[in-house]
Amino acid sequence: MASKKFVLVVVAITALSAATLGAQSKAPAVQDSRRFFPDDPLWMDDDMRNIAPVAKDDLSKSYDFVHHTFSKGSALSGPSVNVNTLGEVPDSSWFTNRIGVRNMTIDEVLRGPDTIDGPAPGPWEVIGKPTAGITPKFAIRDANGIVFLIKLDPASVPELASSVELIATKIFHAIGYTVPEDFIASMDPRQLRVGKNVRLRSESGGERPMTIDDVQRWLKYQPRQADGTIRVLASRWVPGKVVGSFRFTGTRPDDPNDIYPHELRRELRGLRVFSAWLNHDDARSINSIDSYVEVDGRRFIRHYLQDFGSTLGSGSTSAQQPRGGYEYLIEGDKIRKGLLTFGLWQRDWMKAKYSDLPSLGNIESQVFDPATWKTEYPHPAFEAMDAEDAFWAARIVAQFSDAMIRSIVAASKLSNAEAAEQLTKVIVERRDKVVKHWITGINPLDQFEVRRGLRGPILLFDNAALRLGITAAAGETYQTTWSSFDNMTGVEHPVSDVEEYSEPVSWVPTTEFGPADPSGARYLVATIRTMNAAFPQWKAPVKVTLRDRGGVIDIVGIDRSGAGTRVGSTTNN
Amino acid sequence: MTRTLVTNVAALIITLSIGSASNASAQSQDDTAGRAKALSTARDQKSEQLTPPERSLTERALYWYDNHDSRLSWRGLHVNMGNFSGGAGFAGGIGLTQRAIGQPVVDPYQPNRIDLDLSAGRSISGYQRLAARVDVLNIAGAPINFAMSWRDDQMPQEDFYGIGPDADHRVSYRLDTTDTTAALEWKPLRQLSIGGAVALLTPVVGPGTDGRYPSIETTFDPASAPGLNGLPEFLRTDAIVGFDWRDSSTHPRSGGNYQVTASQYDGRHDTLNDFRRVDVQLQQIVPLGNRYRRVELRAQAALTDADDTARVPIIYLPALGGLSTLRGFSNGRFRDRQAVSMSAEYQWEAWWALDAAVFVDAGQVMNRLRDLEIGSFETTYGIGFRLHSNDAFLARFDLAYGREGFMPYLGFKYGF
Repeated sequence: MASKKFVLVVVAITALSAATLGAQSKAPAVQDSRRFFPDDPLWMDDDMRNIAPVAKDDLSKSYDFVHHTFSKGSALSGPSVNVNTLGEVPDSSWFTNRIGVRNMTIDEVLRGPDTIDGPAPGPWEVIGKPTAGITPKFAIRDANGIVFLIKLDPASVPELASSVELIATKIFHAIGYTVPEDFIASMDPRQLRVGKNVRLRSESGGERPMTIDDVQRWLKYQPRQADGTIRVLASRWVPGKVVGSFRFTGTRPDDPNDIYPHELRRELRGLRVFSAWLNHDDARSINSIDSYVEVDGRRFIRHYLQDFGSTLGSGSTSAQQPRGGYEYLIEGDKIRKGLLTFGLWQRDWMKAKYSDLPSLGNIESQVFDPATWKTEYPHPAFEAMDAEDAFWAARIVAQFSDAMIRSIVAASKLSNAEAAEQLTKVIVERRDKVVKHWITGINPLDQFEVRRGLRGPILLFDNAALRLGITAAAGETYQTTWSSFDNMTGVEHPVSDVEEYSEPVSWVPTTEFGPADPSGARYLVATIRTMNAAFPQWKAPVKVTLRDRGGVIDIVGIDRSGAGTRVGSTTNN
Repeated sequence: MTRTLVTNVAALIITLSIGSASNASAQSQDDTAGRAKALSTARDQKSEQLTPPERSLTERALYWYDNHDSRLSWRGLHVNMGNFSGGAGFAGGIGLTQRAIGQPVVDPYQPNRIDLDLSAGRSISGYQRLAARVDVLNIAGAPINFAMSWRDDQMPQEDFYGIGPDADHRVSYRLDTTDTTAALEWKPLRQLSIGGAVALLTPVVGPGTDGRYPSIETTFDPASAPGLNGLPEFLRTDAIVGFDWRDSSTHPRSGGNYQVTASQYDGRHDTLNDFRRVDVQLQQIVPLGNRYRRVELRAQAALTDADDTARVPIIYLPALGGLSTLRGFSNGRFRDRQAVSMSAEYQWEAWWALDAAVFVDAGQVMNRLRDLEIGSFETTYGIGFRLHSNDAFLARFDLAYGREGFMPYLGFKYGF
């Protein structure tokens, strides 16, 4: 068994090699090793290769809680390893670049993952009542034979869970995650039938056939809309065969496509930033799906995020607990402090003010702090998030415009216009906080490109903090040092003095490219620091590698590993 | 796995990765080599070493727990803890609870809903209880509930100190009683309840078994401990009115609860034991700025009255001491015809599932209400901890100090 594990480590190592090199690791260079391959930067990680069927691997939610709350140190640390040489996340079975790399129209964002327009009218056949999860729900097959999970809003907070789930689904899809197709639907109880041989676990523990009376009783106290229908969230059953949930550590041992330890995947670490924005405090393994799907003749596991009922102001079966997003379920130091201070010490979240509108639940933006935001219990990938991961995610968050957010909220069909307006405002304000915190936490140089200038090629870039209006220009300057780079040895050799400009631009010393590698490409590295007295952390350099292939110069590497510190654990508020 | 070991493993991975990349590079001296090919190679290698997912023993156990009813009950059968009077010692038992019998969901508003509770328990001190209760809720769809209950208690070592505020002769006595009660409640408003009950009580008082203290008959006689020479069956009739506007009945953070119960005890074929009793219980929770800090005030009075020739048995005398009044004294420490007590608690949320409290209790028993004298009140102080879920009480521990020392209390039921 030990040798098997060793081999698996070696397999992971092989995978890591690509990424650690891609991230321009600070590890000692080995002679004749190549940092950049001809196909860098890679924008597609083909982890959708055909694999044999896998067994279902269900997670114990209790174990997940106990393990991550009381056990420290089982997760790997270090930089994200599944990024390309530009620090971006390639498309894969986990993530598809969308709003982060291209402009999406509002209509496109609103369409999200949807391939249909929702459950078809006509009779809906009730085919089961899942016991997993805490949201009241049942499964139906619509008139077109498509299966949906029908999720009911808690009667005490009508429209809350369904609206936040729809909003989160649209946003997480636009970010790049794979999510179910969710719809706000109006259900007429009279259109429900019970399928054949559908059984139900009764309150006393036995099983018996489900009847239509059972279904009508579930719906008895659901608020009715003006036309007598019931507002529900219809979540389309994900394609393929569900084979469990994914974990936020390690890899799935029976999936050959899964070679990156999950806690070292940037999209899973950066999920912390998105989750903080949307208060998705329930972003744990149990709310993910691994589905064995078939696409274009290839069978593989696709990884879904699902069940966003505990986002924004919703806690799935009630309004979000005020603690949600601010404090783990168990934090010994806070419990001690709470006990010993006789209530004189008040957590920040105890001072939060919430709207009285039931359909908003408990969500606000004033006390919210992106740095200290927390899930229900420690999350290994979130704990491993570093400043580069956060910067990557914050740039994506910044792509969501006010108008886009307003439209997404409108799509959730809140009946109270004031609630919709307040929710839009809160999401916008939380977005601004998230972007400001994580963009300015690192040297925020961005949007690098090489253009032809009057005296030759120039390297252009911008300061994301200025571009996004987070901070006004304050006389910052940009110091650039050029080095030739040997792709086979990893050795950099300075070829210029420090150049300092007030504009984000630098002339490319085209005669100083390093020696050609076997593919004939030559390389040059620009090390750029941003000097701004208000943000001393911006002095940490960003390294940009230019590649010359027969006179065609492109950017092949962006290394921010020196541009900021590891974020690590969420700090105490 | 220690953090050091993990760090070492991570370092090993990073270090070895260079060597692995070197191999990849060595194999790729032409332009067909690339990142995608290296990743493909890694996946090929893993595909030769696949293993099914494995769970540790702990995870397997918790997985089983997740999928086998997290309430640790089976078809309504469950374990009971505690729920005996103070001094009973550690107690346990089993219970069967069926809510909304025959229905797939528990509907709080379902007409004619039937709930059933059966329980049996015993303590290490020989206390024993058998109980059965049937509730019929929302009769004919109206806000009217009916309950029928039967309870058989055997309490072999109850404490008695004598009657009056100065009583100080601790003895032990046995109380066995079987109570059968029928109760009706009408809730014309959500907060307002009006009800009545009829109960048949068959108490038997006898020698106590607590070896640390004398048995009751060695120190007291029927004159100083009414009921010692035998008690008739009692028919008790109650009239109850209450107004409860707390935000939660078991973990309130605001609101108030005010209850008055007037009872008539009639000894069957024995008018010497007939008496009347009124119980007043007032509770007010005052939030201090927000829901996480509050002051809870309680005032309670139990007043009895009997004809000149009648007496009130010691087991039905108003009493102070115990978890709900004068916590620095043991259960039933003070008994007399009248009892008045009050308490103030400052409570704060130390953790989302734990409230802490500091409290002061004061109270007095007396023969006549006109003997009430604030300066004669017994006082106790203490700290408490209340474990709760988001909105329901789970357990409490109070440690109180009075002139007789410290008294710890562990409870699994929310008191008044």
